Amino acid sequence: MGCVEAVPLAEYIGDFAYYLDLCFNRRPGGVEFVPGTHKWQMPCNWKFAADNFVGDMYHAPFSHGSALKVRADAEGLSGPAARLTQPPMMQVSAGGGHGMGVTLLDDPDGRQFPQRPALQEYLDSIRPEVEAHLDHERAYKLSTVHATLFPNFSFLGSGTVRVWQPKGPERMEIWAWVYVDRDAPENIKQTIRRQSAYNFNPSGMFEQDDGENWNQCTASSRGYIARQYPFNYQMGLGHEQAMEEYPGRRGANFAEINQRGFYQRWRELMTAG
Amino acid sequence: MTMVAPDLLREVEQFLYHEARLLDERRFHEWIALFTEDIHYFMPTRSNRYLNDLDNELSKPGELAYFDDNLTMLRGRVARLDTGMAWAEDPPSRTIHNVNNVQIDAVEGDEIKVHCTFVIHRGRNETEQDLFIGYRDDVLRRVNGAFKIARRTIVLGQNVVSAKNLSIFF
Ligand SMILES: [Fe+2]
Repeated sequence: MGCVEAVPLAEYIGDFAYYLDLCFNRRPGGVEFVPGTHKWQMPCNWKFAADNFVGDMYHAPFSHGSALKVRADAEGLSGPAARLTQPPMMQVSAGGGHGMGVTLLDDPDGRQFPQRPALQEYLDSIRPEVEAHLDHERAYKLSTVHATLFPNFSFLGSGTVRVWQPKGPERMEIWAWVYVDRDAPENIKQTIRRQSAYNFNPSGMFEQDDGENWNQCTASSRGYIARQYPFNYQMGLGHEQAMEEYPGRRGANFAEINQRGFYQRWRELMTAG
Repeated sequence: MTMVAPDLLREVEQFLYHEARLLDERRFHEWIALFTEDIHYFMPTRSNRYLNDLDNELSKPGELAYFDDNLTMLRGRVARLDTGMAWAEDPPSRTIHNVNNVQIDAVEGDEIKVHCTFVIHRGRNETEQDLFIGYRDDVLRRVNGAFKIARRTIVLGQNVVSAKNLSIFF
């Protein structure tokens, strides 16, 4: 048996390091994890989850209609505005199968957390420090929404981090944690912990419905007809752009650029001699 | 063991059975009305520990939990079920909440500390089945003559939750 030479980690992460820092290295103190681990098992293929986190923003308005409506009702929003509380975003395929959905904060209407003024105030207060530690763009223009570091490490800007562990056909085990800026005040850490876990964990207002998707997508892929057709991942194909100001290639917010990057890398590894 | 008046124990048991039935019959608006304004509804995470480390088996308030809700958050879960878009519960779970081994641990003024065990069966879709087994520590408070739930701590027997979600109530 031949010896497989692993590439150095920094090389493996490549251009995605810029976006990992955007999430986990905003402040000089870095992040820490809240004590406790969510662990649960899901009857699905783990790639549906990695796929979801790497680039699937378009599922959110429909899959999370219930949680978004509850949130909008709490904010007193109604009609189309209730569904559009997210500022503009783009998808970034960073090579190596890695990808992130990124908020573009330079839009004048951009709001990150209108329903949580204390958190918004905290994020605004650290921007000068982030600028000194990273750069102007990552302090004032970009923020993390969702991401997967290929193949099975995923996270959200709002606090959840998880590893999708394959457990054989149609089974995965999820280990999930919540991270916070180490130097954040205690009340901000608690706000992030509580809100992140309210939305993302097996009981989460958002996550319940994600799990249902991954489970049912796996089940419906098993059918006689479904097995004969490839999945359609064409969304945004031909509209990908190189970026001058940031690493990686850019797609629209609702696009499958990152899923294509993920599965292309998967195919390279699966078909490598 | 705390000795309590049989009538009080009977009243507590009937309250818990009533609550369980509200959940099984999906009468969530009546169920949410059973909680006090200051409810803390808490299901800690559990971890696999050696005997000399069992104090760290359950996460504590302020740490990561499966449920860590105040009344607003708990109401949000019920409101979610009313949206017509709560896919994890449509078709809904078919639950049977069995509440067992009910004991009154203490009576302190208006409040009663109650321990019980539970066995919850959840059937869903064609063949999905889950069993949730654990114990609960509740604080019931008498408000205008009727019981309300002022604290609830739910502890599952599982370290890794084997269900795809916790979309039901405990
Ligand atoms: Fe989702």
